[in-house]
Amino acid sequence: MSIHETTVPASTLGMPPAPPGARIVASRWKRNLLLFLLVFGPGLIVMEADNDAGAVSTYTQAGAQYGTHLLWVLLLLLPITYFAQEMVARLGIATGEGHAAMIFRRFGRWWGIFSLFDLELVNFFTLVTEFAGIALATGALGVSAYLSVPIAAVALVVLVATGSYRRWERMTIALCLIDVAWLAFALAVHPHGGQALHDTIVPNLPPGGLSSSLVFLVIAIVGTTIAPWQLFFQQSCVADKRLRFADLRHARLDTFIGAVFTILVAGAMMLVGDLSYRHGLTFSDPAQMAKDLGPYAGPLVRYGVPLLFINACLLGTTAVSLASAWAFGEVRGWPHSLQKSVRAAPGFYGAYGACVALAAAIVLIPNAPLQLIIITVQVLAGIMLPVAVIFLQLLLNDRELLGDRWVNKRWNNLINWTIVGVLFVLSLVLAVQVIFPNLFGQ
Amino acid sequence: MAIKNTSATLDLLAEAASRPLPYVIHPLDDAPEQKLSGEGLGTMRLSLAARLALGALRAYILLMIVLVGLKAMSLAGWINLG
Repeated sequence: MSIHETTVPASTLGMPPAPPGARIVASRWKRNLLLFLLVFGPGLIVMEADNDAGAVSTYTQAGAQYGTHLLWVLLLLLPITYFAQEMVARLGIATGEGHAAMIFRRFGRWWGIFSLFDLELVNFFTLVTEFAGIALATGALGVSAYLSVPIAAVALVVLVATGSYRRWERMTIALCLIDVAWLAFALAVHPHGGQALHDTIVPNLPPGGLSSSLVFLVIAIVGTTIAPWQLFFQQSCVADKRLRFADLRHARLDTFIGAVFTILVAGAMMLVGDLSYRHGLTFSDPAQMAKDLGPYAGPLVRYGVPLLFINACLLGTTAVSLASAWAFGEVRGWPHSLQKSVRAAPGFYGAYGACVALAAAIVLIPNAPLQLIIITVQVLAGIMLPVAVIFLQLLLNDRELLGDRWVNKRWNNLINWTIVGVLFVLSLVLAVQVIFPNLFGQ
Repeated sequence: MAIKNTSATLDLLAEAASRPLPYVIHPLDDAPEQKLSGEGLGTMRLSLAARLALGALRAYILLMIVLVGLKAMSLAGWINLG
């Protein structure tokens, strides 16, 4: 139990004292608040890290091309992303094991290898897009990619290699909270509040109706808001943090706050893009968009957007690399905890470092087809997401393992299978869309 | 302030001593908890329909990876799909 009942005065009555590191808090609400703050982290990080390079590109592009018309998609994605992540948090707390380990244990070696291969493949390409984002954003600020990318890679390795989960978590939460600045930027571009509110609540199509690029963008928004690595990341993170059974409600709240914050930030990115739409500017990438918006929005947006873009890439890189390294460590049976030093868990940190170094190296190859890699990543992630959710769904219905307390309730299953169905159709459309680009007309 | 060592005082002290005083501890500092373990359970028992569905899923994924790979190589100009 996370809140222990003891008696006072321990010394006089011979009762066991509170363990080292414990803090006695008499007030019930203060105790709850403190406990929540101790549990808080994995939910916010997994959600906000998903606002990575691909997400910043996708949301700002959606705003720049369609104004506020696609804000409603984000609102729809809020419960979907929460329910998917709540399941992995629950599974991680119940079993104390990561997602890859659970798949190996309950579905066997073949399915385990299959899932791990899917994850590592998509993660690796995602990492390449994160470093491509860093190169793009620092380039817009006049810094060479040959300088910024290696510095970022080293910083990302240092971030995790301190041998302290808590230190990593605090630093990463700080990076997440920097994204609050997106909300300030959204206000700075003076959005049309009434129109934005209407487009958030009422699903609608932009002028021009359904088109190939609109379908692609909507699916890209879905694909970038919920990604397979998130499922693996949060379960491993919860297991590494050793969250206890009684922490579940706080972990749920953490996940919910993370989901709301992420969607708000995503909406803010669309609103910044919307300024581009209102001025009829052509969108190529977020860094270029910031340059173009400089005369209209001032230096805050001109220099702030590339800086936030870099922050998004750093967050995405650390989370995706950790998802890969945790999964690899779980499957190989290596020590795999941020609480361990590099010397105590060489395989885990080696996998993390290798992911970061390889992805950074690819970005530095002259004339690497980065745009092609970005498109391929979106398609692969879209295809593999429903499969990952199906495994999750089967695990959450594993009564033999979880018993009645932890398995999904009937309503859980109804919602989740609906989500799987929708994601499956969207992933199929996305794949077909890429293979037959003119399917929905231009 | 001096406290009289009366039976009432002792009762009050005893009551205070028995009153639960909870403490809060970070999960990483807490004693490890016995988790639900899958060890010894083996792999999950799946119905024939579920196994077939997972098999179909596997085929779908492999097919899509190949298709996307071919498309990507075509876009990169490495192969010509016609």
